[in-house]
Amino acid sequence: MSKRTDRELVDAAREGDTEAFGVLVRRHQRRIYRLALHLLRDAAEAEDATQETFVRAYGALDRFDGRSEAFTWIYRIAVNLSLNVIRARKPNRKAVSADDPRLEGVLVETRAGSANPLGDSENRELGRALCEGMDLLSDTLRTTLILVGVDGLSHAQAGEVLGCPEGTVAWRVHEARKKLKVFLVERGFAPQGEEGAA
Amino acid sequence: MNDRRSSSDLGSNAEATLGTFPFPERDWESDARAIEARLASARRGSTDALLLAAPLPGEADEPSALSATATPLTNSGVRTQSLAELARRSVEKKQALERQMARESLALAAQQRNQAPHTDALSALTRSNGAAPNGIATSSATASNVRASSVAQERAVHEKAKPFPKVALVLPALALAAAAVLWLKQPAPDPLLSNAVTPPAPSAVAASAAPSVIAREQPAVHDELPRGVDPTTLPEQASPSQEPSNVASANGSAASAPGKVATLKPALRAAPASADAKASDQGLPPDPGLRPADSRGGELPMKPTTGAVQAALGSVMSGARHCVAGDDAASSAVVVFGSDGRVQHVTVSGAAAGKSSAACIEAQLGRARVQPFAASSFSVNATVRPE
Repeated sequence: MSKRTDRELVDAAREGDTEAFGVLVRRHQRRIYRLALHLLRDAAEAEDATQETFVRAYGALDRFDGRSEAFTWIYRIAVNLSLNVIRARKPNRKAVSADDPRLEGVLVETRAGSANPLGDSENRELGRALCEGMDLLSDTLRTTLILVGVDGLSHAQAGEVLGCPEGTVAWRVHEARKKLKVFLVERGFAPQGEEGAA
Repeated sequence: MNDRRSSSDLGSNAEATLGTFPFPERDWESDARAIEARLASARRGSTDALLLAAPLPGEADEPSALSATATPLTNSGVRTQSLAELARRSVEKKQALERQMARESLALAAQQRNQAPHTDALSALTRSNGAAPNGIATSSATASNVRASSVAQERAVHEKAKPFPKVALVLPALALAAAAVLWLKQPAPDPLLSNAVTPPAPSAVAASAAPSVIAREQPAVHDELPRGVDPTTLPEQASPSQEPSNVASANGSAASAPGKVATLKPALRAAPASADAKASDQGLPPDPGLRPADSRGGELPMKPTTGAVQAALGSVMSGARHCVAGDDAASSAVVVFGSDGRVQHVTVSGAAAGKSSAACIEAQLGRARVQPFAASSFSVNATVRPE
């Protein structure tokens, strides 16, 4: 049996096929979790937001008009839920702490490839600086940068998620990168050439 | 991909870290089961619509052109800039400029009148020919006559000092009267209005309400009070019942004294005195075109103009077309605007009727706006063709 598309899964779920929606969950939960983790900076809240995103998406299946991709539609719900959590928070989470779940991922990665301890350390510092720089961005720029820069969405897809044109997404990404670059330079992470680019 | 090689390039290491930001692995299967367990008790249709709306506002310095020129991607929350809104702003800007110009010209005129050394000459004129100044004063009781009368008074003074043929006086006076009528159609300047209300009895007002005996004492009043009187204050102070007699006396005196001042009579009558004499009890000129713009607020059009409706629908039609993308046939919609300019109701028929795209069309067309109008509602048919 060939792999069903998101659209087919949504249509099946609309007809009451919860298994089809389960496939959709398994297909996208990692990305949704990563998005929520970067937006919320809290693993438990990210887990809750991920669950809530799929439950709310299921509750709104009848309102999915099919003119956008299913995953960008789910992304939008995830972004809205995460922003609601952020707005409901007390403003006490500005600094990037050592137990920041985003850095936890960086630590795991560097531990696995520990042939170059110096490089690992630099990577950890760079990851930390990136997280701090992103936290200084506005919600709009940060969310756009996470969608495009971290999650790899195209500008068109990010535009679908955020409800704005591609040009606006491009401008926001550019602005976010510019500010992030200034921050990194101030922290001693001067941009290197293309020699090390993948 | 994207703009990673742009001037805002973060450098290869940072780009690599950003693009492959790792995150700790979890037991995804148990997470998925937990979600499925919650789905069993989840109720379809219970999700708040706000969660489906476009998140996040635009940045403060975000170029608006990016939003204005782009094609909407989804049927909800896409920012589009309404052409009707642009047109409305343009008209408001123009009106503000016109108000400013009127204000400045009024101030200049008042300043010039104050500087003009004509009060003595006017007193002399009044003493020598009591009927003519009385006629001038009474006919200047109405708003539109203030400018004509003051200019006419100046003319009379000049005429006294240096006589001209009648025709040479009548033509400029007529032109000035016409200019006064045109000027009154412009919005009245607010600051001067408030200033003009404050003095208890501007000269022309006092003269209009007073009998001719008092009017003969007018020169003294002219000397004491500012001459820049805003016309909007006059109808409230001048009694409508008194105006006809005053006008009649003006005519009579002019007839009895067919001298140089009598040549001003056509100009004074050509000015909106006759129209203003029939002013309603509320103190407004009967012809809306002659009313000061700010006296009772602007008049609403009976219904929105075709251009305004087209512009309003045009600004949202692109979004509506997205709703029927892929359809073979066009759909029709009846859009009903309320008197406040907002869409009250949209009825979709045709290919999209009964489908989810009908709600999408309703949402898109429902964002159209026109200027407020007087009628209770206004409906228009719109055809939504697939892209």
